[in-house]
Amino acid sequence: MEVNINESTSATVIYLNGSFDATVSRDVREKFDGLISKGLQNFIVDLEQVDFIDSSALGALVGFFKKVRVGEGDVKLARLSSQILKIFELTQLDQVFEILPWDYAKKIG
Amino acid sequence: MILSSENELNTHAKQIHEYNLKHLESIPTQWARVENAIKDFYGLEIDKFTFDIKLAFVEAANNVIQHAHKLVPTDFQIKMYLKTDEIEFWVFDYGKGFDLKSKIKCVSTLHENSRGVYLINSAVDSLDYVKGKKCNILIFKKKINLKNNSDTKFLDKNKRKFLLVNLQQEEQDFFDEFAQENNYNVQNINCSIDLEQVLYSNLSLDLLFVYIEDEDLSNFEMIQQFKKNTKNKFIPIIALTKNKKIDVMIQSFLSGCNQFITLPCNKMELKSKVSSLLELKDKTRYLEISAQQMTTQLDEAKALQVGILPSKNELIHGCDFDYIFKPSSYVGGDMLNYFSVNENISAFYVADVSGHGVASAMFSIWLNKILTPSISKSGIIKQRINKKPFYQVRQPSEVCHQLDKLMDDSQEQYLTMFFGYIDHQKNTLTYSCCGHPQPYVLRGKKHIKLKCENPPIGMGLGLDFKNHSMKLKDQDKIFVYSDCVVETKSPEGVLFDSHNLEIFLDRSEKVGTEQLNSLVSVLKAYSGEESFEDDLTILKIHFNKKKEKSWK
Repeated sequence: MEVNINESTSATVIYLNGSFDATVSRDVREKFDGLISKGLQNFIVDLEQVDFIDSSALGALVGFFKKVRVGEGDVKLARLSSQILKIFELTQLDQVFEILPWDYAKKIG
Repeated sequence: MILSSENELNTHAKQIHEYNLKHLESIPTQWARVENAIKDFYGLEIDKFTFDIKLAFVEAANNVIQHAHKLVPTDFQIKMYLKTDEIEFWVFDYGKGFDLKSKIKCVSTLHENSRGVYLINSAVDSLDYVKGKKCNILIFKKKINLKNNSDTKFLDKNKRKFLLVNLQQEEQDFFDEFAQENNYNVQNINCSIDLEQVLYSNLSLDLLFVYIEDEDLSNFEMIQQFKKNTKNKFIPIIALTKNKKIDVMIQSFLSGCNQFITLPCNKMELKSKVSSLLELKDKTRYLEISAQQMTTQLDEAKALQVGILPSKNELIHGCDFDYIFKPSSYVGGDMLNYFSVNENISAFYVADVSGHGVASAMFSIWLNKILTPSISKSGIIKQRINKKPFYQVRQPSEVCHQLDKLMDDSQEQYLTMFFGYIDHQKNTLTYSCCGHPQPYVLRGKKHIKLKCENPPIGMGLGLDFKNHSMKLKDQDKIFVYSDCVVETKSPEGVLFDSHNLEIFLDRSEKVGTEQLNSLVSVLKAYSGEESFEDDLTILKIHFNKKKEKSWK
């Protein structure tokens, strides 16, 4: 899975591309950890190019969220397809992560 | 217990596929094979249905590899049974087994693991787990139903298309069922995900359902945005909510919703509201198309009507003929003309055909044609005779009478008209005023009201038309106008009337065209509007016998 990072002043946007499942979740967790160790605090995970997500990916995102919250930062999600959003709703993780509107990029500059 | 025996399955299944897995990396490859087999068998595209199957398949395989086999590479098998109305999976594992009931509960939101079985259970229609001595089997089934496949695309282009925004699963199922029963297409979307696609796509929707959460203002904003888009303005919106608060209802209507339904609702109520909105949408669409066609026709009629009017500021036999003509947006039937009849006489008229629209405009054009003196010297104005100059000019009353005869009973239109001749040798005005607002002769600071005793033309009354005649003095102005002048209304609905017109005429210091423009400005100020509801025609003839007479 491709992971691209864009560090802006207000938040670091993490663009994920591909199938976010158990085969890649360990690698993605390591990349998340790398960003935290750089001292970055506020993140937006852009899931527009993610076509599938499973429970290991949810675990990776929850782990990331918990670590970021320790440093008083935040992880928000953006551009989830209806199917992926449904998974977040089913697992009630939509109540954990703030889900940004589709045009969030206009607001963060 | 949902377990069927393997023999039963082998009998009922149309196809059986077997997949061998060992470690996490084998999952994507095996899923690709599963997906192809499903597509080949059912002809389905990637959609909600296959997404759910994928979720269950991947989670089941993950579960075996990560939890049952503790990531120790161990061969295991997944069997897929494809039936006409159902897919069934058997996932074998060689671990200790687990308690299904405890695993299908939703874990704490901040827990990092243990969501796999919960997700499988959410994605499929039935789930079971059988513990054996040698191996265990996780069995899940997913029903094949075309209504599940309607999530991502509209299947039948001829069916009515409904879009459901933000509906929860329970309501989605209700609407899917409703749509299937009534032969509608439905598509479910989530506002925050696909909103832009909906706002700017060309879905050609018939109806939009929006689920309104408590105090969630984003839904109202979405509805407003949706309605702002011109292509969506006639698409009806039904607000759905479980909230019975009156302010939610009011806000929904203010945002642009056409109906409001409190959930749960019964299908009869839903059907009646949907039917009435669809009927309204169709009629509105029909009216819109008709209005567009009519506007085009009216513009063309207006251009034609204006195109045949005489030149402004024309000098005929030493008299200045000037006018203002402002066609209304609806196109009226006003017409005017002036021309020289012979070396001594000029003729003029202002007419107003009843009604508005293309028919009235066309009739006014016919009138212009019929009242233009023909080259053959035979027509309504000039009557052929046998002695020199081989014609005689018909009196105004005769002209009106001839016109009245031409307008037979079958025609619905009638017209009011002021028709006059100026005899430049005798300095006289001879006229016949037929149901038209009374014109004036302005002499110095005074106005002389002309007589109007004839009925409108074309009423089918067979009445005679009378002539009137008066002497004109140098510098007299003949002022003829259409009813729009005196029938212009103030915002309070009070007519401008001849009384105000006379005050204007008596006090106006302006001359020539400026006086006409000044009157138009006064009327606009009086009505508070920039345009007029009817055609506005004002003709002014400046009689000047001192000017050198010239032929037109």
